[in-house]
Amino acid sequence: MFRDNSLVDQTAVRRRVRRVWSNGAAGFFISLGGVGVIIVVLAIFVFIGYETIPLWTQPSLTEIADLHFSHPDEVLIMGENEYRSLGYAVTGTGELIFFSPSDGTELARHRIPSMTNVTFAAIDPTQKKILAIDSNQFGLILSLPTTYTQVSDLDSRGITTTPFALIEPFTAPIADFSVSGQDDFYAVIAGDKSPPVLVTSRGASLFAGSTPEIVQAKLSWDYSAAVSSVAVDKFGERVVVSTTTGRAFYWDVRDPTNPIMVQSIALSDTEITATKFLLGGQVLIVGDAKGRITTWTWALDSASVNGLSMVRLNEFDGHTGRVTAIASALRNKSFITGDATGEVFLHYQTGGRTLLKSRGSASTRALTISPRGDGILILAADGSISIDSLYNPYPEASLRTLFGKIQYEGYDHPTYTWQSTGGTDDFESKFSLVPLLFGTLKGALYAMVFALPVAILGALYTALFSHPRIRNIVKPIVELMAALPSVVIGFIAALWLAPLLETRFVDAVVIVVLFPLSVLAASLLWRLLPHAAKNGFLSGSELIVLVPAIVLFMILGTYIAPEIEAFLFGGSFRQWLYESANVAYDQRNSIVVGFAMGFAVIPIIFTISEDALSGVPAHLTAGSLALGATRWQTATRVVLPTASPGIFSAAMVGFGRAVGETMIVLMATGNTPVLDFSAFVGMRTLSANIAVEIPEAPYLGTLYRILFFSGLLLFAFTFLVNTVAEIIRQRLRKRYSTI
Amino acid sequence: MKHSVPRGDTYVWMTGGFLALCVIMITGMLLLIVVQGIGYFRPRPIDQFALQGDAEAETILGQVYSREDIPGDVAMTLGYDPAARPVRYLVRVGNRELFAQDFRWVNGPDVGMVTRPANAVCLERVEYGNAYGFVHSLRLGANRVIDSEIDAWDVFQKIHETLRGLLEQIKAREKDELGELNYQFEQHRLEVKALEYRLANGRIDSASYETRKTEIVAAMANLEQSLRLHQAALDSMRRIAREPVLVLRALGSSGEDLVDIPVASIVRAYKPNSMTATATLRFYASKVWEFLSDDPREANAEGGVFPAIFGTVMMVLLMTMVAVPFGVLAALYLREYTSGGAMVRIVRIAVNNLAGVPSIVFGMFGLGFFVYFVGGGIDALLYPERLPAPTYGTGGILWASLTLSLLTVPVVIVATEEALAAIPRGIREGSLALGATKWETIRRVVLPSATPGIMTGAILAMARGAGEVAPLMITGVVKLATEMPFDSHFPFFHLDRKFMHLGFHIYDIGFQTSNVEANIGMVYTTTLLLIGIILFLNMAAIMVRARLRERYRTAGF
Repeated sequence: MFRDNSLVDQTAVRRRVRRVWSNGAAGFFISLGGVGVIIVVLAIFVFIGYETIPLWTQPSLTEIADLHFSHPDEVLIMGENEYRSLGYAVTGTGELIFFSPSDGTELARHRIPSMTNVTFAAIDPTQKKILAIDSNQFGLILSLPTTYTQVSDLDSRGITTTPFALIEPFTAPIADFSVSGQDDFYAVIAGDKSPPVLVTSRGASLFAGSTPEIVQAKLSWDYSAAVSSVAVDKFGERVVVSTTTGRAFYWDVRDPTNPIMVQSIALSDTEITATKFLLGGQVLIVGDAKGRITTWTWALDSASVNGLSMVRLNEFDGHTGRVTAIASALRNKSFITGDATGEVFLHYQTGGRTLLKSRGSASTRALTISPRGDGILILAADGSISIDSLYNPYPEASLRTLFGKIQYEGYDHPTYTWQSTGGTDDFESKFSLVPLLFGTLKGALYAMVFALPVAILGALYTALFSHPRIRNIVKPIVELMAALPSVVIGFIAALWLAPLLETRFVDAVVIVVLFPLSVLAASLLWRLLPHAAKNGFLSGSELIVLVPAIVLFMILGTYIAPEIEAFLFGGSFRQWLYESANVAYDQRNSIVVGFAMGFAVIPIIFTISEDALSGVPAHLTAGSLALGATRWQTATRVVLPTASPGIFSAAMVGFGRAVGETMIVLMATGNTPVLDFSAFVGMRTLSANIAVEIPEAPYLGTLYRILFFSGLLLFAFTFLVNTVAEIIRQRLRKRYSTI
Repeated sequence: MKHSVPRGDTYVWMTGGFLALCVIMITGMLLLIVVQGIGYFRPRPIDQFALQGDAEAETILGQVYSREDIPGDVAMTLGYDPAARPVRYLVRVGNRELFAQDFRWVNGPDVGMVTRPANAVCLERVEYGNAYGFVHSLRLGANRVIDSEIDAWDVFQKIHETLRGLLEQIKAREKDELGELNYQFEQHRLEVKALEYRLANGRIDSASYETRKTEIVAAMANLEQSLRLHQAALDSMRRIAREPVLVLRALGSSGEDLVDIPVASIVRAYKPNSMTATATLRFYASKVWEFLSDDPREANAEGGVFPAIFGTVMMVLLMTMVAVPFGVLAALYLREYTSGGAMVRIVRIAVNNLAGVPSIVFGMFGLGFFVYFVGGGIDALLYPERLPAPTYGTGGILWASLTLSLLTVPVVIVATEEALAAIPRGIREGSLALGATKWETIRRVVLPSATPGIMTGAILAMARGAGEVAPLMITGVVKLATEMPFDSHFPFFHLDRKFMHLGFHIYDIGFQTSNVEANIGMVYTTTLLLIGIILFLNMAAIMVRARLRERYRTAGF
């Protein structure tokens, strides 16, 4: 019929095409958007996990170039600039050879002024100063400019020299050399048959251009064994002189004119062949003739002359041959060791891990880590220098440092400590997650202790005993509780409750004790009331009597509490606690947090439990009541067993919330990461730790990634708990529909 | 006749006791906040304390801000009997010219006599906090001094508004005119940086670089000149405005002191001890208005919270604009476009559970992904010349809103899904049977019926978003943001800017300022405001749900 009219037909066709097309397009966009949103939401997990992966990558070492000098000079020591664009080597003939670390080509040679036969050379850890000693008992400090990128930066004006005559002759000198942040330098030199000499120069940078004063002092002692290694820290405070028997001597050299020997200690049972201070000057790395590598630190010791003595920290994977060289990194607590068989190992002090093992062909004579820690130079016995690039971005993190008990530098025993940053650059980061996990669980458990009874019993009453009219008032009030932002609860807890509890702790205890009494009193009062008076009330309206009764008893509690405090604790509970039980009372403690966080999770536990309890099919309760059971018997024998999975699921969800809560713990605890079971001290939780530290954590740095790792733990834990709870709830719902 | 008590009835009472405890706690807390929050703006009387402690006798004048028990151990060291529960008062003595601290604790047992002099005056100042004392005289010019206390007060009240307005005007001009000039200057500076960057990358030759740079430098010099002129003009105006001075007779630690206070620098002057009821009411209203409409003063401890209200609202709106459409899209997909297999069940559980993931984890994701990864990428692409100073590679309102929308999108998805599930199959099938396509059914039938559910979800998401603080702290909230996220300069909306937020404001004043006891009143009022907004949103959700449900019920069938 319409077929005649082509106009109508065309419009209809066009409309249909448009409709079909828009239907298809809508379907496509909704699917795309929907899948997109779900992917994005789930990608959070992937992203957070992805950010932590680099923490677990293995360090690697790749050789870039091998440097053989045109005529076989004996290279003593070598170093590099910060950008790895220029390297230098000091030769026994008294020359400075400059080379390009990227391809190993020799660029230039400079003669070191007034030195012909260099018998020993050492560079300081910053690779800016070189100590050279010649056969004429003549010492020289070469200072390179603070930045240099090409040979022309190092002309005669670029390098300054400070010569000095040694007060003691050395035939085969060995030395260690360090430079402080103020450009002061310290060297300790020893040799055959002669006592070690300490060379100190302070105030170098005070007057630019002026020659710093050099003080030399002999370290004399009556030990017969020959000195095999010496080490001095960058502050010029500690000198360790090691001998061929394995015994070492620790000198306090803070007063360079009057060095004091503090301790004689066996660092090994055989010859100590190499020693070096780690970055920060708190740890000595010791290598011996059997290839063993150990680290030692200085811990407080009241028996010692200066209050400090050396204690052992870690032993690392040993070498096959005797240890010949040690070099410590400038940016972190890494160090490398080399041995007589050509092995080069990379270690990390914190946690005592050997990260990398590499094998060369010839005996290692000297090692240097580039200033940024991205490369190493290995000097072999055949005089060649191997230039390697090092990938070692996150050495601080390992399962052991995150979860294990670690002995940190300056400690005489292993501890679980979280202290990510310190005042100085050479601070040893302490990344133990244990105190944070402990704090998280402690806070959540305290919250549960408070929240579980209140929420579950309250839900029990609401679901089973209360009158619908009461229920319709109470449920919105509890839901209102859920809408309160946690920052508000945290603020009230920290600024109102915590100070109040501090002065009136006993009042709180009295109120807790009075609480059941007030309920008993209310129920007794109810029973004693004549029947006529009760007629106006409906069954299940106990709340009307209970609320005023509890409030009344609370007020009563605040009146009798001072008497009790005066009677039991002599007027001040806090003081009594400190003096009698030796327990400190923090204002923001676990009780406050438990209360506040409990307050925050009560609504969710309440709501889920109430759902489970009121979902129990009515024929079960009706049957039980019809058989003559009282309402309490019905509740405990019929309803609770049926709904228990739901209540369990409620508790799990509540626990998950408490674990992840951030603002309340941030505000209501002192945020100190301590491992203390006392209820009167605070804690730091994983979530608060992230909030406190991530704004300051350098992007993609170790701390940043470790915080992401702790976030991953939080995410995984809460997700797991919630999923299990959700599955339990779904099963329960299915069961309810079948019985 | 003996009543038999049903077995276990006491236990029933016990469970009721716990519920009663819940109710008492929540109402008690709300009451505390309401009372403290509302009470903060009242004109507090000025008390004069005559102290008679071990130290020499002293008279102090100030407003009592709080009263608390002296802790038992402290009381004992001070020699008071702890069983008598001695109290101490936190007294605001102000007068920062004379005292090191605005507030001081006065121990109850030390107080001899307390009086309330009717002529004691409190001056709220733009800077240096409050001043307390008695009016001594008013100096209008070098040789025009009004000596009588009553006359001086009268004249002061007449000229105060005008002078204060003048100073406000100067401030506003400073912000507008100097702000504009500074903005232009900054644009030029950035253009120079951009030129340098382009030169370094070989995108322009050095000749055109030089010509353009000379032009800009000349323009900058001009700007600098006019900046200086403007500044000088405004400075002289300010000098004139600040000339009239109210001389205050204040009680210093060593007797009376005369303090000069420029009239224009006084925000508010009042004699609380002799206020009439209407004056009290007017005072209260003006304080509330100041709180709602002004910028904060004195490190957030005084003044208003307008930028925080604005920031909160703006952030929540941005968040809703992202979370609701995408949440609805996801719910539509899950409910209408999938067949509901095991995979969909898993996805649904996962989405539900995201609501239980700690908000700080979302914040961390926002920081790592939005701020550093996306923002850093935008900076590297679009603003390379400004680096290393970040533009989008740092926290801002956009990133904070996006982070919160991730946090709240599960709320929207769950609510929308519930609403969609509640629509009877018959309606859908009826529409399809009449020849409507799937999309038409969704658009004309399903979505309108689901609107109440979606609205509820959206409002609940807003309420949740308004109360979250932890993720914002690391994605762009700051304690003081002077610039609003939009202004008259292109592109008008500056979503890279940092912002203030009521929740963070609570945390900031309560925990990151030096004098927490003194600022606690401000924390309470801010809390009251935040709770008010959140409860309003929750109530709105309930009401919208009820009303729309009613409407669609009648419209649908």
